[in-house]
Amino acid sequence: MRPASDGPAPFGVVVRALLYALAITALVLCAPTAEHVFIYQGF
Amino acid sequence: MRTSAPAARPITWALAALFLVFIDLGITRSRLLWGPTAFENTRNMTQIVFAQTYQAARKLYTTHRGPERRIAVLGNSRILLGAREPLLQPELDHLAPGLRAVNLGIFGAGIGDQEAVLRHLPRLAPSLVILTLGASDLQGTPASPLSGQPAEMLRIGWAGVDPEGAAERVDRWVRTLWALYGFREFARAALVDRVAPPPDPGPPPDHFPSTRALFDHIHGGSGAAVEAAYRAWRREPTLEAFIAYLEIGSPSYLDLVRQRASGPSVDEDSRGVRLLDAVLARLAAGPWRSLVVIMPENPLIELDTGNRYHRPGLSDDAAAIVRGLAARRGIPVVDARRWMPAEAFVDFDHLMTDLSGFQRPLAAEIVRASGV
Repeated sequence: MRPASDGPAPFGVVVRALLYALAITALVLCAPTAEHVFIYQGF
Repeated sequence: MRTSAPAARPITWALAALFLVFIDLGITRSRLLWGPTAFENTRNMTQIVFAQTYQAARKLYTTHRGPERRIAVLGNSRILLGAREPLLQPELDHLAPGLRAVNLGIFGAGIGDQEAVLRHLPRLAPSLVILTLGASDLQGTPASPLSGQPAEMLRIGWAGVDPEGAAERVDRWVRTLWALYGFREFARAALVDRVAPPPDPGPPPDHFPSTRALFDHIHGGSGAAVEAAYRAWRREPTLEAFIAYLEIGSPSYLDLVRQRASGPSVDEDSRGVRLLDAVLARLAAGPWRSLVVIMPENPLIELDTGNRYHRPGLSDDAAAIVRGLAARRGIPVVDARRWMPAEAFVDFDHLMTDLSGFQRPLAAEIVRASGV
């Protein structure tokens, strides 16, 4: 068994990295953007 | 000895970056982002510019690079309605097979919005780019701004054209480098659409057999009343009768026209003219032929002797500036302002989709400019 002080197993690193990537993606998609209130009046 | 915490280990972040690349590609190069959506067919005038900007972006990033020569047509509602692809493409096929029209028109798009669209054009790799614009597109008013939502959604590149703050500059740089960030507004709308699609009215019909069918499509339940007013104008073709017809179906459009009539003039120092010059510079620098088309104007406006619906001299001043700036860049200009009769128009600016027949002379100009 690996000692705890060696850090997470490689699989744990992959899962953690995937979670980070998904969290960053969610942050980007949910990030507020400039609010456009423009009503097209062409018709 | 204790190693660094997992969150701080470089391998974790390197892997996260790798995963981000795959997630980015999985969203921005797939039907998840670019597949058909319900929101893009909205009839809601507060959402239609966003929806059409999304459609233009889809055409830029997903149009198949087949053996045809792609013809990119930039503009706003004037060209989107006047030469929709299902109308323009058959004319091109008839005159010169092998040309493919890609109409990138967006309702309300000003000349600053065209500058933003142009930054994405290398992705489409067109052989000919046609910039269509109306004389009043250089003016800029609250109802028809020079730069609006399309410029905001499509802003990429290392240098901007207008003065901007640090936050805007960084935002543009990140949009340039990171597709998911650049298309995040579209991705968000597309994902919501996949999960909970709104009611889908579907795309507009390809053809309209009559003005009544067109008015029913544009005005819904009041189509019959608009048609009656339009017929009254056809029987008595005065400016007053035309305004009465517009007041029934398009009162907000009349507000827009009145804003333009009392709006600023256009001269060499106008922001709209500076933006036009930036557009022409970008056109001239690209690996494509270019053509500027000044779009048809309703000749009925000449009856507006009280100048309530147009600014006198603006059209000629703007056309002269367009010709002068384009000549400096070696870009030909087609002045189509007098091409169409009053009955070809829905209002002072917009041609009757399909019924006007504008797609035919435009196709002839495209073939001429494409050199086939």
